[in-house]
Amino acid sequence: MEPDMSPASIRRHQAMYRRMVAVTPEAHRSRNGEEQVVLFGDLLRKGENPLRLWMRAVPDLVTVIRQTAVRSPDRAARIALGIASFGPIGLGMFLGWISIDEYGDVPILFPITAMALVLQGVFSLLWLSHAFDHWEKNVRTVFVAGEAAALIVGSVIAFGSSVLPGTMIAGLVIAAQAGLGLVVARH
Amino acid sequence: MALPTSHFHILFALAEEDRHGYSIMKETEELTQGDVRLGPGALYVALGKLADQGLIEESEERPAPDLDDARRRYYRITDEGRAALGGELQRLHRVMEHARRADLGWNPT
Repeated sequence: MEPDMSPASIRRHQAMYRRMVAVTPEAHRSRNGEEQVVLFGDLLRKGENPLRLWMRAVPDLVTVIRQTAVRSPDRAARIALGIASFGPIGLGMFLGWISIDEYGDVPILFPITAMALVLQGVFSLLWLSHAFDHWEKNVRTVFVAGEAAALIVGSVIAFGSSVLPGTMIAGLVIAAQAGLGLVVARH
Repeated sequence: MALPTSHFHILFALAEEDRHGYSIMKETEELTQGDVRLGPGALYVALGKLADQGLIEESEERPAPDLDDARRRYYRITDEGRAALGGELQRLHRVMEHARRADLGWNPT
């Protein structure tokens, strides 16, 4: 039996556990999250070894995620969009680096495109992480417009440009990311 | 159809009296001599599924607020839950009878 933990210490453990519970699907979290935190506190209060408790907490939460995660085409599209968002960010940073390195020798379109691509990728990731949920309606319009523009730009880069070697692949990645963004925005 | 182990033990613990999560967890551990340990997450996933199936429900009877954490919920078994538990016990009984008759080298005294 462990020595009694102070209430303050139990609250600290509970606060950390609450942060971990935050990774579980929203449906589970809103229904059971707080009670789960209370139970975690109960176990500590009754003398459970905190280290052993924490070691069991991770596989336990993985079980929760596995059993409660909603598998749907929308979810698959969101995951794909998240991964694909690194395409425009990567290409944007690459173009930005060229723009800085070859300053004066590159068309003005380069830094503008670079900035737009990075913004598009970051915006998609933020949108996926629900950062804009409270003003969803306006942001949704901006998101859809941005992805539609990116789809056109990506397609033009892929099929009509020979500015840089490999731009066809980069353009296809941007177009794919934008296409996924539009699919996700429909839900 | 056989009940999942966690569902069986939760129903078993609730058949005796209404309980909250911690009490269900401890009762299960005691009954199985520590062989079945439900983590907080797995326990609440199972409780949610049992409630969705109508086998348990939230109990309105609870200790006075100053004696208990208001966030803690108490659960009770429903008639459907008792029937499901009875069915599962019958199934286990049949398995044990079969094992005894088949002389599988296991014969509880």
